[in-house]
Formats: sequence, C-alpha cells, structure tokens
Amino acid sequence: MGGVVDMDHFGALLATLVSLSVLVVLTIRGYPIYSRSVRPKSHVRLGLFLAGLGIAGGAFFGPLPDLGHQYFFVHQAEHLVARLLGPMLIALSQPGGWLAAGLSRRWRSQINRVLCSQVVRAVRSPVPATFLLIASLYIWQLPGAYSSAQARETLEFVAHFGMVAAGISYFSAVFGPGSVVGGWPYGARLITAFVVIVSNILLGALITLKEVSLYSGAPMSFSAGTRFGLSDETTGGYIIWVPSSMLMIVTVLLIMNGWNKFEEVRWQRRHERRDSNSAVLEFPETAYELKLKTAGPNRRMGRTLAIGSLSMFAIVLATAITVLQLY
Amino acid sequence: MIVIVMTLLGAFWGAYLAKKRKGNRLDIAQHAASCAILFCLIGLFATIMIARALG
Repeated sequence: MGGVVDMDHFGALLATLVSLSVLVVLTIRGYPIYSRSVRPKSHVRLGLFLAGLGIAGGAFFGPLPDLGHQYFFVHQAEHLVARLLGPMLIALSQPGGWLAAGLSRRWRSQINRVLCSQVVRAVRSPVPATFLLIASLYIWQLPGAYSSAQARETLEFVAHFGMVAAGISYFSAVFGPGSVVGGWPYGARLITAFVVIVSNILLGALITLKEVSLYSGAPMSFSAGTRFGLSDETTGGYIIWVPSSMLMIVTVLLIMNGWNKFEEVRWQRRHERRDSNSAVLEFPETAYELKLKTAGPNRRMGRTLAIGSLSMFAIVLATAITVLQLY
Repeated sequence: MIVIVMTLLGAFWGAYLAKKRKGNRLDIAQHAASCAILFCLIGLFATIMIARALG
C-alpha cells in the first residue's frame, strides 16, 4: 500500500512540475517577443500571471496539501485557490499572446486547431463552462469522492487539476475581450457569475449549517469523528460560502468594468465604421436620445441585480431553515 | 428571535443612513433592504454559534 501511495505522490508531483515548467518556459521564451509589440508596456499582466500560477500551484505544492489532509477547512482553501483565485488571476492576465509567441510555429498551429475544434468550442460556451466549474467542486464534495481523493494522491491530483482547468476555461471566457468572434455576451457573463455564486452559497451554507460530520470517514483526517471535526467542517463550509462568493462578486465587478470599457470603445469608434442606416441609429446623438435608449436597459439591469441579491438571500434562509428542521 | 431583531435593526439603520444622506424614497428602501439582509445574516451566524455553544 505504501508503495502505491509513493507512486501516487511521485506521479502527481511530476505532472504538476511538468505543467508548471512548460508554462514558465513558454513565458520566458514568449514574453520578450510579445512585449516588443505591445504599447504601452506594462508588466502588471505578467505579474498577475505568475501570481496566478503560484497561487494555483499552492493546491499542489507547499504546506497546503499536507495540512489539507488533516483539516477539512484547509482543504477547502485549496479548492478555493485551485478553482477560483488562481485561474481568475491567470485569466485576468490574458497570457494567450505570449504563450503562443513562446511556441514553435508547428505547435502553435496544432494547439490552435485543437482550440478551434467544435468540441472545445462547445465546452467553452457559457452553459457547459459554468456547469463544469460548478461540477468540479460539487463532485469532489460528495463524502465518498472526498474520502477516495484523500486516500489516493493521484485522484486528488485529478480533482485539483480538473478544478484548475475548469476555472481557467470559465474565467478566460468571462474576462475575454468582448469584440472577438465567439466571445460571450456580457449579459451571459454576468448571469453565469451569479449562477456560480448561488452554487457556492448553496453548498457552503449546507456544509456550514449541518449538525453532523459528513467527512469524518476521510482517512488521515486529524479531526475525524471528534467534536472538533464538526467545527472544522463548519469553517470549511464557510470558506466555500463567503470567500468564494466574495471572489465571484469581484468577478461581477470586473465584468461590469469590462462591459463599460467595451461600450466606451464602441462609442469612440462610432464614426470610423460604415454601417447601415439602422446600425447607425444604435448611437444616440442627443442627451434625450441617450436617456431614451439607456433608461430601459438600466432599469432591467438594476432589477436583475436586485433579484440576484434577493434570491441569494432567499437560498441562504431556505437552506438554514431546512437544515435546522432536519436536526 | 435574534434573526428577526437583527433584521429589523438593520432595516431601521439602513433607512436612517439613507435619510441622513438626503436620499429619496427609493434610496431609503434600497439601504433599508441591504442593511436588513446584512444584519439578518449576522443574526443567523450568531444564532448558530450560540446554539452550538449551548450544545
């Protein structure tokens, strides 16, 4: 058994090292080429990318994985960095340009072909990408799946790697430029972010409020079966509930900021385009026309945000009432 | 009980804040609703912690 665990550990470590090394080498090769063509020069994106890699890597290396085997709440912090925080920073840095520049022409065209394939495009559309992000957490929170992943490092690696991949796929679409073909509409980006928040609240509230220990069967768990085990799980549930939802609220703010920038650029370029007469009417010429055009959408947006917050609140209360009635 | 008291307290506090900042009726309603939600959640956590502490 010890041999199996060692091989598990070695394989997981090797796969993580190889993945990170490839990304770092591509950045070292591609960033100087890419930065020569970008004006104004800014290294903030590179910093975000490296920070994202480091943070997502925290779910595989360092003290978190070891502590995560002892404490449920540390394991949830691992999930938080692997699924949300790390991928979010990586996607915000939009590293596609320099990673592509770091590849050879042959590899670039092959990877491009894969990324443009129908399967990948289908997986990266709003509904499947959001579903995968949510499923990547929910599946591994099932007590049986959680215990199995705790027992076998290869399985744990698959779980965490799946979370990072689902996170990068989701956030790169959410923070991607609005003007590209196949880019998500901004309304869809906002709605998917709300769906992810609701899923975090639902699972987080359920784990926080429950009165019995569900993960005490996990092997190597320091706190298994003790009274401390329940408070450990409560803290873990709170991590899924609040910090994860806070990160998604930051995502909502960033989406709205990106939407505003996209609209401003579109407005600034309104005279450069030679569109049809009906398309030209998209751009109001007077303040009255502007007010007329934006009043309806603004009201709808306000209503959507209000309904979003109220439904999250309703979910929390409904979960609390259900859990309290169960015990 | 704590939840209800905290919710009412939050609603009053939100309405007071909006009124102090010279908001109109909708501003007052918005502030009251958001503060009521916030205080209700704090109350919920407090209730759970007290219930767990009392055993």
